Amino acid sequence: MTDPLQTWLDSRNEAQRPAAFEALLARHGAAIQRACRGHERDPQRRDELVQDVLVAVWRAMPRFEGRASLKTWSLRIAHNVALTHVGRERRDPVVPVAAPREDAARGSTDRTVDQARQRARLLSAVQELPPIDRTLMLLWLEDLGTAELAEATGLSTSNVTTRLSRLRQRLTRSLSPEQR
Amino acid sequence: MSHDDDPLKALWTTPDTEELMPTLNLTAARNEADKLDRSLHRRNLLEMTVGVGLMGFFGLSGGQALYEGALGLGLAMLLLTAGVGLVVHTFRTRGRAPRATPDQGTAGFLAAYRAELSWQAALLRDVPRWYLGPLVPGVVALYAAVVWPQLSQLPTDEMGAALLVAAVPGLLVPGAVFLGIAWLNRSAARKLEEQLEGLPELDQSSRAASRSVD
Repeated sequence: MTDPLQTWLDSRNEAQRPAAFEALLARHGAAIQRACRGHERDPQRRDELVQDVLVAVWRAMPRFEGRASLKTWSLRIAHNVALTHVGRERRDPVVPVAAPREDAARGSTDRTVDQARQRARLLSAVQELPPIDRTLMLLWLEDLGTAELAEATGLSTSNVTTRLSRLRQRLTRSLSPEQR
Repeated sequence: MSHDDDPLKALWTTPDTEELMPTLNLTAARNEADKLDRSLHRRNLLEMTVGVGLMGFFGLSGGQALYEGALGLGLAMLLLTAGVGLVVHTFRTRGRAPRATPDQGTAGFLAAYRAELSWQAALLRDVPRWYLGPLVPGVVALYAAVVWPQLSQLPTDEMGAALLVAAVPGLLVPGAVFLGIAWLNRSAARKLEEQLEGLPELDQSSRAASRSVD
């Protein structure tokens, strides 16, 4: 079975771009959604942000040159759009951080409930970071390497390493039992 | 270190309940992008047509009504050329406008986005100089063309008072409209400047992180 994304990358045929776009989002859509969740707390604004990111990805597709992986490239777009999106909304009231949603895991095991709480704490801790650190952390959480992080953010690799070490400590502390 | 090895990464990428995730509407995104491209194209075309049409109208009617013959035609052509020059200048300037593309690195993108917003804010702030200013001769010439035939038939001693009476509605009203346009553009520029202030900076973020993490 042919990969619509690869077919479009090889041919750059405009008629094949919609299928390639769908294939790209089937692969990296969840990561894009997580990026938007990390930046935007308000559910309605988050949906708008996701749409803005999708529009930006669609419009940027013809410029993709393959120097970075599609995942890095699409996440870079998501975070850049999110940084300006959050900047635009800065003066509007901010919705408080959502409490861990126990109802989401109702009927599940205690372990699942605990995991949902932990995930909510992690999300909350990430959302409280300054914008660039938030971007760095979110990209790291999506498993990008140091070189990719440096390339995506414009920070030096040593700066990325130092910041990451501190940020990971901070996030780990926010999840530790004494912080609960 | 992969997702499986790091507990934070594993926690972050664990599939969540669907209700908490933002929705992906691919068709809406594509339609939105196409709509944006079409509206940009339409706006450019409309601006060009209106600009040329308006200047042509002001130039020809103002110039030809004021003076007959070669002088009138010369004045009309002068105003028309100024108008067309303004429109061409506008499009050339727009072509040189900084463009931020979100697929570049964050540092480069933010710098380009900042430059783009600054450029747009400056353009809006300067609307009286580059857009309204060149329209003033056309407005004055057109108005003079309308009132001069009546004024020229009056006795010389009555002409001054009549000119003053005619000037109030004829020039103050367009003047108020021009001021209103300038004010609206200044307000839009201020909003862009506020947006600029809200943009994150790599260095500021670094300092804030050092304070909050250490």
